[in-house]
Amino acid sequence: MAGHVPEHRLLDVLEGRGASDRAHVEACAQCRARLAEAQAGLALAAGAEVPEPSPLYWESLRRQVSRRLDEESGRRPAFWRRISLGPVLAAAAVLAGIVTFLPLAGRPPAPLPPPQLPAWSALPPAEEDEGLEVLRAVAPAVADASVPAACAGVAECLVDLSDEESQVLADRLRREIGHGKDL
Amino acid sequence: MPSTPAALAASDESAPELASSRRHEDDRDAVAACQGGERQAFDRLVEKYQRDVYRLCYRYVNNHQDANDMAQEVFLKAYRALDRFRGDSSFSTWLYRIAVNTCLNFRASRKPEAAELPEALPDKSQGALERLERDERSRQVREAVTRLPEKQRATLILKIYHDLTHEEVAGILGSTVGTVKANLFHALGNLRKMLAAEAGE
Repeated sequence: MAGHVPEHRLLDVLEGRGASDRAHVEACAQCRARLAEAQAGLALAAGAEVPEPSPLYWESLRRQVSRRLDEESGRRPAFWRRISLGPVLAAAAVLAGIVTFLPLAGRPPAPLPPPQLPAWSALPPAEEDEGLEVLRAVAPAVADASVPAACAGVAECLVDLSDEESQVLADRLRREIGHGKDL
Repeated sequence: MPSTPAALAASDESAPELASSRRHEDDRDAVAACQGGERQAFDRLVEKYQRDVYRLCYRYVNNHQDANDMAQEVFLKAYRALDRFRGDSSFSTWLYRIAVNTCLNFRASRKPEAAELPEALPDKSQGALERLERDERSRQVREAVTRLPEKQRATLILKIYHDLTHEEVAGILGSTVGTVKANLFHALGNLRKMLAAEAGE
């Protein structure tokens, strides 16, 4: 544009510099019009703000970037970034449970394995059996309960009782020890 | 954001150099820590620059969703390339360069623009009406900016909305200060012409 001020120098004038070109601009209608148009453009541009996202957005953006970087580097995300996975993991556990146990629900119960008897007795010898003292204390009351005299211990004697004998003994014990209260 | 010619010029002349130098020093430390394997240092850089990057992206695409996607992409690219950053320019200049390139690539590959959602629900009160008019003017200007030629658009966005110096803009765009000034002058004139034509002036 021969004879007129080039654009980069007109911008200097617009910015308040370019004193050497100012006289020309004031005298030249064409340069003045170009300058006025750029000034109007600047006023328009300056007023056009970007809508501000929610203040919470910035934290969210930072976390998204951080999570993606963790994923890329194969690192396990920090706990605070995994918190939101909690409900998903819980749902997955429930689903896994359903998938595992649902097919079993319609089947008849499996037969119980035969009881494994210990090779040794967990019961104390008769002379150390604390229950013996109790039994002696109520002996008069259970005299007719026909406790075998040669039993190895109180517990074993009780095991050997018939249902009827057990019932008689239990009733007597309730009365004598519990003084009428339910034991 | 410089809203007057004087402010536009001031952003070049009276930048607080000490604060700027300290900022660049902090960035250099953070970059060095990242390069040494300290990932949290990059989180700090994201926190520091996410607003600038998001707003730059928004100026290109004019909607939040795409701006969000692009902003994330910019930081991921920066992180991947961080080992190659040698500090020849400031970190912010380098990051802006990545952001501008990401925006240009995105625009080149994107599908036709979806209509932007209104920024506010209609409200009949006097203040709200003025606000709606202002928002609508802003939207028209932003939309016109996206239609500027590539170099003019990048120059205008970086200079007007990110308050960078002509030298910084030239560094980001790989251009000269003279070209940046000429592009900015053309961009401002074209913006005015486009908006005047739309308004039927």
